Amino acid sequence: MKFPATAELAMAAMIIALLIGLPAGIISAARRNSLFDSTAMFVALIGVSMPVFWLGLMLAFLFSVALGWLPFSGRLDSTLVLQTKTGFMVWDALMTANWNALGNSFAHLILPAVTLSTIPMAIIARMTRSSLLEELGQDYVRTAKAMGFNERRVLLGHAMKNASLPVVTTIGLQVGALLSGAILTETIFSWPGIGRWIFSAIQARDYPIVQGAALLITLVFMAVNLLVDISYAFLDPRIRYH
Amino acid sequence: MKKAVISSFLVAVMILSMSVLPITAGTTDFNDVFGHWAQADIMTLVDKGIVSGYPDGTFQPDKTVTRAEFIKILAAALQLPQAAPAGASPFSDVAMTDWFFEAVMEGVQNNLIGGFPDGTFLPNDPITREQVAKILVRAKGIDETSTVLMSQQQEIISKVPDWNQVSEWAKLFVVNAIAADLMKGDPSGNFRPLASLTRAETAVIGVRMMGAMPSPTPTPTTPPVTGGTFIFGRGADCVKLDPADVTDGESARGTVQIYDTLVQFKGETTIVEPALATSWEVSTDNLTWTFHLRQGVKFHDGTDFNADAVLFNFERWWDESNAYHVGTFEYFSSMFNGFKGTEASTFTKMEKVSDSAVRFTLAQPYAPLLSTLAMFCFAIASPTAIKAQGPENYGTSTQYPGVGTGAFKVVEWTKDDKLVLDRNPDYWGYKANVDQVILRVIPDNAARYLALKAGEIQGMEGANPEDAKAAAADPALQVLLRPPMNVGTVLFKVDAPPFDNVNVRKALAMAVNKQPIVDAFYGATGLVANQFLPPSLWGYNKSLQDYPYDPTAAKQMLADEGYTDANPLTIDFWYMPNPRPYFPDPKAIAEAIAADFSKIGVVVNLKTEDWSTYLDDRKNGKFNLWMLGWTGDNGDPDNFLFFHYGVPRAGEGNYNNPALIKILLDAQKEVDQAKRDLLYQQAAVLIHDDCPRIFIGHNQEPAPGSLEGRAHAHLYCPPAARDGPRPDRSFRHRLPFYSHDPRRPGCGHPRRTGHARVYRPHAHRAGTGQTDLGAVLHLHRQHLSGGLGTFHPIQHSDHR
Repeated sequence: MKFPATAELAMAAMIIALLIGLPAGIISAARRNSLFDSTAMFVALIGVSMPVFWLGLMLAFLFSVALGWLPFSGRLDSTLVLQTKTGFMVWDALMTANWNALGNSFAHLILPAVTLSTIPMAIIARMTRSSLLEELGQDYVRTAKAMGFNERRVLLGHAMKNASLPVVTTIGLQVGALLSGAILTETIFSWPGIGRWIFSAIQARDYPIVQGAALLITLVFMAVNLLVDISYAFLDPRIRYH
Repeated sequence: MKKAVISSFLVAVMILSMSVLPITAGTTDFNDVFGHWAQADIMTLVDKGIVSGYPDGTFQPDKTVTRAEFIKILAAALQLPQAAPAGASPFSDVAMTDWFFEAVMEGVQNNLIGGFPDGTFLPNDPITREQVAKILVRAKGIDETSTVLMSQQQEIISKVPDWNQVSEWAKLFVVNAIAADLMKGDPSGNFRPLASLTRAETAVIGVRMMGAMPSPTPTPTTPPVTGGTFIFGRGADCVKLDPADVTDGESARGTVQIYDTLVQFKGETTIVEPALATSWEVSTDNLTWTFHLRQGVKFHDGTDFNADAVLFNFERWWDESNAYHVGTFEYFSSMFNGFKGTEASTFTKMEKVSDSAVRFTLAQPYAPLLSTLAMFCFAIASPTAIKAQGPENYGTSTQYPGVGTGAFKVVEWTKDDKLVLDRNPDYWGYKANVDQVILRVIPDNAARYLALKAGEIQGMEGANPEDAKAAAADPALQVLLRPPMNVGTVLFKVDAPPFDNVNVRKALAMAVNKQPIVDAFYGATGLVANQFLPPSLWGYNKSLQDYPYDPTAAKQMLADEGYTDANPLTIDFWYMPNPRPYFPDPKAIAEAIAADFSKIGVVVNLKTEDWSTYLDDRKNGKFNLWMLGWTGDNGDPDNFLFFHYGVPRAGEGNYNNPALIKILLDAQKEVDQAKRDLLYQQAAVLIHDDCPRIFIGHNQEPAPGSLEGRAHAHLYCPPAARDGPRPDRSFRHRLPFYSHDPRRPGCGHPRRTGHARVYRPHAHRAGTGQTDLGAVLHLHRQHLSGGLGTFHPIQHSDHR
């Protein structure tokens, strides 16, 4: 029950991080030293150095208290009822065709997910930019351009494919950041997930829970990074696992 | 005829306006009323033309009121029927031409006031509080001879330390005035029967008697809303919904909604009133207690509440060999000295008298029994539910809910998220206004306050001090304060150098300048402590004089003991790593105290360590000087004093005073509360003289809620519990110590603002009569059926 809550949040945060971080990194690399580039990288710098709890409270204040657009505590309005099977609220609501709960759980997801996504987003953007820039300086890019391939195909088809290896590695490593960032995010947004569980267990000096949770997070982290390693084979045909 | 009366009245008013209460032309803004605690009431009366100010633009609210003035104002406020024309003045010192003659006659003919045996009225003497008591009781139409039961009278009298000063003729009136809430004593309970009244106090009384008491909140008396859901935000979840086997405050907050106890605390007082037991008798030797049970009460599962159910619960708690005694039952063993079979156990026998009566036999008289039984943990659970769910599962989840007789029943419990409770439509007592109460967990204090602002919750506890301040200034929010029931102290290890020397202890006590510390860190409503008990408790010794703040003398005392500048006293001073209700900001308070110590030449090293270790280390002799406090469980002084000094405890400084122990044991066995009161007052003196700790302050906690919420719910706030276990138990680590509670609020209480008279920051200033502690309590009582519920002085947090 607690793990799906954290997984749902982490996935949502990762999706936001990818949707914004990757394009931002690619565009920054393609238009190096442009206004977009310097702005994006400056924002990324802020994103990576912003304390999660401060950002969370500020977002909550702006969007919940001042504007009243989004709810910010919990996963679902306390008055709504949703039969949970998997523990993934959005998924459960979708499956049971409970549109009310779907919209509500989605709205509850936005603020914590955005808060949690800032650090991975910034790192992904910077990593994408730097590894893409490196590839863009390679001979094969110059050759491809000389052969008259269009700019976009060179960038996304050739350079990006080669640049994706370090990016994928970074994404895998960011899963760890998501899980540890979840402790603060979940506390601020009253998200009943594994992060809060650890937080209260630490305060209660409940060592078995802390150890168990740490083990679980480690296993998840290792599994994700194993998947990342395996994915290398698909991204780079030169890599083969025996 | 009527015209004549009216015109004579007008003449009286005119004369009055010229002589005593002159009307100032066109102005109602008195520069000495603005910001005064009675501003609203004074202005109400001014608007009605009942009182007015002086020509120089002042009202002089703190000026004493004479008998004539008082009856004049009250006659106008009460709109007394015109007096029958009198041929002559019945009093030698009242002339028919006096401006107050009409009012006096109205008062006399309505039996509110009389003259003195020598035929005088003494119109220009200050009116005394006991005279006011008579007038108010009569004006309310209360029959002073039959309204208050003897037992209740005794209870009221026992809470008035200066009872012997009340004149014989006034005693019944005073009792009735207190019982009917017309008047109150000062914070320590003294009624001050012979004290006079100020104009401000008279204005408050006048408004009250007009039946037009101004609303204490910006929205005038919102009627209770029925139906709907009330959502309360809190820091942590219940551990278990089995009150007998939990010690944490958050569990209690859940269980008090679900369960009832045999007796309960009335409103937000510590007075015990019937609950599941409708009446009780105690044998003359104070050993046998018979409780008569309420008939027709059913548990939420439909089974009957009866003597068998009560005995099932008590035996489950008491008897370790009982099949359902699964758990620690910590509260039972600590309040009743262990379980069945142990020598010290308070109980010797528990038996059924009939289906509707149970009898408990005690090993020796135990005066706090009723107060103790009113604690949340001694609530009666459904035996059927415990048997069906199994004692190890009982009250652990939605599947295994707690089943009691209370105002709400469990619908759903998502751990660490929310506890959903539905109204019990068959409740035997006051049925809840709302259909549903949800207790939501929002761990972060700031986030919880934002949720309140955003309307996601309607009430909360545990606001950061800055947020509590902001809440007070927010017209949409209301803040309730919990009367102080705690004490923050600095402890000495009295059986080891350097603090085995009483003069060293006293020198340090004299070095601490408490008032600025309380002002800075406890906020406007904090109180300086000079003894263990807070002044809201009986047993408080009002006449005790604290050690004076005198750094020069303190330094000299240290020098006499050999600690000079060349050879300074060097100590480690341990402070708590986290705020507690009694020390809202321990680090800052410790720094202030350390600065005071260093002024008398003591070299202080401030130290701290994590909370659980801290609580352990204070017991194993690591500390010589440290901070810790206590929060009461049941409003009985025994609960404050006996635990600390009834048995010498290392964790409490190892102070061992046989004379004190004897007094505390005697007080525990004594059933007469007036005698116990005196014993505890003696105990305070003994403790003071030996100075085993420095008492710093008593704190009140704010709990903000939205006005919408206030109008919404009848939520039962649990009267007693703490969020940690008893301090001297080894299994503490398994329980979530204050896990919800990174920062308790407390300091920086909201100051008075335009609308927030709720706080009455002056409330504890002695000498304001009507606006003492009782004013705050009274206010909360008004909201009992329509507010956040009672905010009981017994805190919902651990002692520590």
